[in-house]
Amino acid sequence: MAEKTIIPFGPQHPVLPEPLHLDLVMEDETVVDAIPSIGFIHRGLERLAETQDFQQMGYVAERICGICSCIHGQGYSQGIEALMGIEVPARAQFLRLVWGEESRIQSHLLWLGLAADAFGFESLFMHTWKLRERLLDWVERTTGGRVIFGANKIGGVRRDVADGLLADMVADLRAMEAEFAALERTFLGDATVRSRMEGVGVLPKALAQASGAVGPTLRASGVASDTRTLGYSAYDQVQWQVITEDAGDCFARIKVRCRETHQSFDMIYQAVAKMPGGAVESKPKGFPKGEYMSRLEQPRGEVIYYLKGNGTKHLERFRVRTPTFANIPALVHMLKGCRLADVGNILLTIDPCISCTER
Amino acid sequence: MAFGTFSLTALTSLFKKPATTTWPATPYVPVAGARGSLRFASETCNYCTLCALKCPTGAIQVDRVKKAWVLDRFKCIVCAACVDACVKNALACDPDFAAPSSDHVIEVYRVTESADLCAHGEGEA
Repeated sequence: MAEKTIIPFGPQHPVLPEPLHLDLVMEDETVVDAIPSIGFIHRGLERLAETQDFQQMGYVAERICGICSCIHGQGYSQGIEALMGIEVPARAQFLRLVWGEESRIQSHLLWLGLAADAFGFESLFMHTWKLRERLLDWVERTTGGRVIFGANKIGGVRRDVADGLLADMVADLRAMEAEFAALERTFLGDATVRSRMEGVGVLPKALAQASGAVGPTLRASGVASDTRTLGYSAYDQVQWQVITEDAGDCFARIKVRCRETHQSFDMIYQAVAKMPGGAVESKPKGFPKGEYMSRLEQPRGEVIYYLKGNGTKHLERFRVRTPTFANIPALVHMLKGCRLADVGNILLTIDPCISCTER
Repeated sequence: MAFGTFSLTALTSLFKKPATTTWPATPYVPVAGARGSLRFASETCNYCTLCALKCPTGAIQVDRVKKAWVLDRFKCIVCAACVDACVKNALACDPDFAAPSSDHVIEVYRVTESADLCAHGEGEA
């Protein structure tokens, strides 16, 4: 039996956009165990909620993460709205869906590009990110922000978008979807991609559920779990289905994200077609009191916001359980038995977002 | 099949115009409505301090007595909370971004003057 050695992986590594450290216990080229550690970029944002005005905290909440900022802002706003009993106008709910899905598309495109870069397909990475830039231009035109959308506020959204601009956006999104379909053919059909991803980092269905995985990581193992089925925002008013794959390997996780991107495009078309008129915000009155758990689907999986108000302008407790944190135990299971050269790819397929995880 | 796809993509890319812009020959056009940088108009401001109260990072300080409005751009996150709060429309967001800087400059606007730039620590608020 070969001697065991430990190879440190991260916190700085070419495949990692953010710092995550793994101690890889190796037997020759095979990983027998992985011990993760986080805590390199903890910023104490949860504590900040206890000293900030609850309305100001909305701006901080969406800065928890740079990639899924829109849905963080929405999660916080939805929680406070539930505590204060605010009814959000229908148009604001539809606009939240449009921006939330745009956020999902740009996040999936970002991830697909990073994955292409990690398996050594640099031109595919550039083509994917070129498409993402075009989407970000539309985000900037409609919300005013490119990375931090700044779209959500307590009681609704911060700006209305003219119907003409929404129609122009949908026309361009349709053209973008056709371009994405061409990229998808390479991601899903190319022999080099398949040989690098198929059968690698398999997470069986039972293990995925037992380890508490969420989002595309869980759905790629055949579990139909998606928080959008709760019907928050306007998700109960558009036609869609939870996307699952059965293989549970890295390739299945690529497939789930590609198919979800198409579905997000479709949801935006439906939402813009059904967009109701009217106001986009209702003014909050008073201060939040009570406890609430707000659950939403981030591009990476289910995010949980716990909010506790005591009737003053400061929250008593603010807690966020982010999807990457839930996916780290699943990652450890995926890594067991893989080759050292595959660690980077497998690690990326959970779409790690460490800024979210550490807050 | 893969080889055909590669060749076709490479060939079409050769004859297409570049995906990137040739800055600075082609100037950058800011997107209308973007939250680029904060702009202050001292002539309409009534120094009510609402912007300073709403600012989540404490980037704005307002002195009602001296009629001075002070902005620390290193702290400003351009969230536009102050723009939403301002009742006199003295604050707005320019779509263009503020130029990058390594000098920590505190911008002090007084009622009679336009921007008065002071080095960090020397600014009168």
